[in-house]
Amino acid sequence: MKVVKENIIFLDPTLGSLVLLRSEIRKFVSELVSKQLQNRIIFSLDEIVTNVIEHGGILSLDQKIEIRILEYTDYLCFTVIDFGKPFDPTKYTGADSKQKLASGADGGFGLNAIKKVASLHYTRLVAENKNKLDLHFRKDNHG
Amino acid sequence: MDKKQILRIITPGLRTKLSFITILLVSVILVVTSVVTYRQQKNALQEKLELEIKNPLVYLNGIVLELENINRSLVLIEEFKIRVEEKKSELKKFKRTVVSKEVGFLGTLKDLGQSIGLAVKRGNVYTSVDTYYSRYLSDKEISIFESKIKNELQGEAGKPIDDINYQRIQKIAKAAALEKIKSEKYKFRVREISDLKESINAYISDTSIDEISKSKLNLERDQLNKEFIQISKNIITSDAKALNFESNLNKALLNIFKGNYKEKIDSIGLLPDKIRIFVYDKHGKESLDTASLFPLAPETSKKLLLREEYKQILTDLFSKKQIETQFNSNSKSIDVVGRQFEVLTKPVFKNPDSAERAITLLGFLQKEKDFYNQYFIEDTKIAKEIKTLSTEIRIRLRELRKTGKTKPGSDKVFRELTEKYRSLISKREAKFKELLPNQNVIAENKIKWKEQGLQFKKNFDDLNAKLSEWKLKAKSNQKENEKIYSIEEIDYKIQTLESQLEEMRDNIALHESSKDDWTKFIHEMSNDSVLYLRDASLHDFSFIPYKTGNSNINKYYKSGDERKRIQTKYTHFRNWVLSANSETELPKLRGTEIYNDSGILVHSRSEVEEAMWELDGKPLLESIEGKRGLIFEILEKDIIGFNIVILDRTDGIRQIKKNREETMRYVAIIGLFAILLSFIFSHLFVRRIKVISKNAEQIEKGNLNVTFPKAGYDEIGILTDSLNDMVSGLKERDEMRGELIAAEEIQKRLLPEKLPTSLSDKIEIAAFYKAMTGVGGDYYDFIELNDGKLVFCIGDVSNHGVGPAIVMALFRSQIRSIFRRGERNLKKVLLEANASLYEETPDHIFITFFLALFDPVNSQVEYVSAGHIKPLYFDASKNKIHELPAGGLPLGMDENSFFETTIERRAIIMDSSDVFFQYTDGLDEARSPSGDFFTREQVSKILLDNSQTSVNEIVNSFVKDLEKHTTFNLSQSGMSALSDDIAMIAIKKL
Repeated sequence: MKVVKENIIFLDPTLGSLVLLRSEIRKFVSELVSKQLQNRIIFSLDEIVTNVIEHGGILSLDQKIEIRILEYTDYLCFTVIDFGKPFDPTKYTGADSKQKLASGADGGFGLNAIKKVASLHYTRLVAENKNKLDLHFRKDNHG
Repeated sequence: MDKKQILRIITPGLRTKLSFITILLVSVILVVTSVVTYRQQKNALQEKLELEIKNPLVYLNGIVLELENINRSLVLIEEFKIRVEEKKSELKKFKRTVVSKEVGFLGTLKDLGQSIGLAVKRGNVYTSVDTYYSRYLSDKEISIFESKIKNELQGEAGKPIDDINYQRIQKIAKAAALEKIKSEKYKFRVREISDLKESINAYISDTSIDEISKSKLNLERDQLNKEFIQISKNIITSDAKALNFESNLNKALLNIFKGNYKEKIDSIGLLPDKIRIFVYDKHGKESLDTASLFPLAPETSKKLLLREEYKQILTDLFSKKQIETQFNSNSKSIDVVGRQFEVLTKPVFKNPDSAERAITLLGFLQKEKDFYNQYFIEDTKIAKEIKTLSTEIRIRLRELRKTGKTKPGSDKVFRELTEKYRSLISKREAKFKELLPNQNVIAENKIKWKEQGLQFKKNFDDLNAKLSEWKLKAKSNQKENEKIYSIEEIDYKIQTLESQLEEMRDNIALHESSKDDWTKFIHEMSNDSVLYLRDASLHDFSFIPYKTGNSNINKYYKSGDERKRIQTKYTHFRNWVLSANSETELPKLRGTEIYNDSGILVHSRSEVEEAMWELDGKPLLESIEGKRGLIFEILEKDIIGFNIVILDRTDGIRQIKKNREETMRYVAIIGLFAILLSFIFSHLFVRRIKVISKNAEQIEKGNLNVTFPKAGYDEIGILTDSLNDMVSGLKERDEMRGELIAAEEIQKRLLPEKLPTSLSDKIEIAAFYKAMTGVGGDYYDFIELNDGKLVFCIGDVSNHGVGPAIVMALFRSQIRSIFRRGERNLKKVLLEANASLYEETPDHIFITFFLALFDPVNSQVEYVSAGHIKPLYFDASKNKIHELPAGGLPLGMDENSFFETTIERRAIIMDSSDVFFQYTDGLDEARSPSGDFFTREQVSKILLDNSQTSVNEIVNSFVKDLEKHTTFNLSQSGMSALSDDIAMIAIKKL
């Protein structure tokens, strides 16, 4: 498959860097997909990166989160590579919402939403001690 | 009247300014025009006058040179006569007696008699024959010279001089010659005395000499001193007398030539009433005044001659110092009672061949001071060598003269010495050619000449080709596709081309003839001066020319052949001097008389030789600033006087002034007209601006019902259109402002007027809202439900302005109506709101929204978040701030199928003293003047610090800290200068 365009972003593992993430994604995809898909992509990436920052247990600011954005003919691929603790979102089955409502525990709904609009592929890079998550969005995804 | 109105009255208006600028412009034009015209006319006048005096001046210079030559020749002739008489006895000892047998009829007869036995014998004949040393100018040579000079003494209409007059001038010349010889003898004696005194001094200083001898020597020295003083006086007297006699001779000669000169000056068009020329010798004696030749001409410059300025010019010119330096022409303007005179002083040189070369070289060196420096260093070295060598030659000659047997040319030692001399001259020439600094310039000049020739040739060929083409057109039928020309047109074209061709032919011929012309190339002329100045000067010294003037040197510069001829002559002449085979006879060159045009040889070889040593033994240039070197010496020797030309320029200047005044008059009239026009135009212009200004004042007062009248399509017209557009824009904005005020009013009403109090025993509630300038997009609400529960929410509509405000108003109504309908499932409430927002609002409008439901029964807060900030929760039991999870996609961004997957219902049980705090991003993103955010950390800290107080105090603390951070007053009602709205709600469990 031919790569049409690509970009790589390195983010600090802080919530403040989400602003940069959103603007970079918007810049990359604005001419390529519908406004709705743009919002979904931003929402998805926002969720994933927020999860990494809030629950990944990254200890150092030097452990940047790498986002690779690749445009193929029919779809867009977003790869998130992080130093967080191992977590495979594709195996996350979804929490019992009732249970969660009662306990007030956090998380889960974002991932479910992402799975609805994108296909996810997880790899643990053992040698480098990193997580690698690919998100594929079809360009004609209008819901 | 206010300050502005007073300033408007006293400050000059546009009309005044424009008129002032026009006056200024006209004045500048007036001044510039008159200066330029005056200068142009003055230059034109100068050129005209210079042209007018050119020919008379050339002629007068010729006269001066001619007179100088004749004067010099006449005195020389008399000198020769005296010297020959003296030398006859002096040189007698060098004569040789030759014994020969009797010849002729008598000798033959005696031979015959002897053969037949008669007692007769052919006798010996003793004749005295000249040797090399006894040879000086013969009576015959002097007589030929004298008759040549006498022939030149012609009066009016070529009338020859009568004997009485000739005897008279001869007498004066003889007197001058006698004084000159006397002076020469005195000078010789002075040198002798100096030598004797030196010898006596040497003897006196010798200690071995007795006192008696010393006193004798002292006495002798005193006598020599006295003689020295007397002879020095005699020299001065003799020189002065010689000068006086020469001057008288000049006057006498002038009288002879006067009539002749007058005719000539008249014929070359000198205007005696406008131009007066004085000729002075270099001692300041006037030798000619054109006014004396034309007695009827008015004495143009009579008053000028009495002026101090004029006298000063003469004084400067003839003071010794000035003569040495004034090699160039000068001019000065003098005003004499309203009359304008130009006084020009021009030096006159007697030997144009050397003087012209020296002036050319000096002119070049004044511009390119160090150009020949390297060569001049070599030249100085060689000159020194020549000086030493010439002393050796002189000594050898003296030895040879003593015996008088061998002529120098046959003496081996002399020949060796002269050979050395020749090689030094060759070395000097070779050095110059080796160090030639302008080889490239000269080569370039040659290339340019060649290129121009080729260009001319090309142009000629092109024209020729065109001519043939047109001639062919005239003969044959014209082609159909071409433009058709009439026979007349073709003829005209052919004629034009023929005349162009003729012109081009002339150009080519002119160009060909300028092949070796140096007159425009200073480098070539300067090089020539360096190489041949000495030769030219030697030639000038040796000959008195038949023809005076610059024609020879001009011919030399123009023609390569002439240069070759003259240079050969110079070499030949030097060879004659160095070979020393004859004293007075010049040899021929391959049978041709190459000295025919040189004039009369007036010096013997020995005299020329001395002059040659003098010239070759001096450096060409020692110091240009110090005016030292051979160049300067030659010029000083060659200068024989000055021409002072007085030009009466009054009429010309008056005409120029008249023209200037006339120009000024016209320009002034045009200027006045221009001022008037500018005033009228500015008046019209200002009138239109005044209308605009009045209307603008109306707008300033708030009256927008003003229309600017149409004012055409110029800049004012454009301004009027823009102002009309501006007024309508202002009107629209005014109307819009009304709408905005209304929108703000609506927005304010949307916020709860007062907070609910039904649960005051269970919870404390506080809220704060501050809108930015204009209509904001934040919103909060508390809805008391009939089952005792309390709904509280906070939202932020994307963008600002009336549109988002309306969206918010509708959204608020929708939320309230959903709850009023009985819906209690928060997710469903959001899904319903999202569905309508997604459908009915544009893409760029969405709402981040936080919705919560407080149940007083179990103190549970159930909440959902649609992309809003995570709420902060103070856990009193742990005295800690928690960030509650939130997330979700904002409302109106995506359709429900996706939206619902992002929404999560959450719940939390509030314990006593717990605080639930939620806000919009305007709070943590509020900026300080330096641009720093208020930050979420700061929000958490304030909440923690004030958690023990009431919720009102918590909110107040936020407001105070915010005011400190932003420097805006947020406690005051109405809009603020914030960049975003701020909304916050706080709920505390009692």
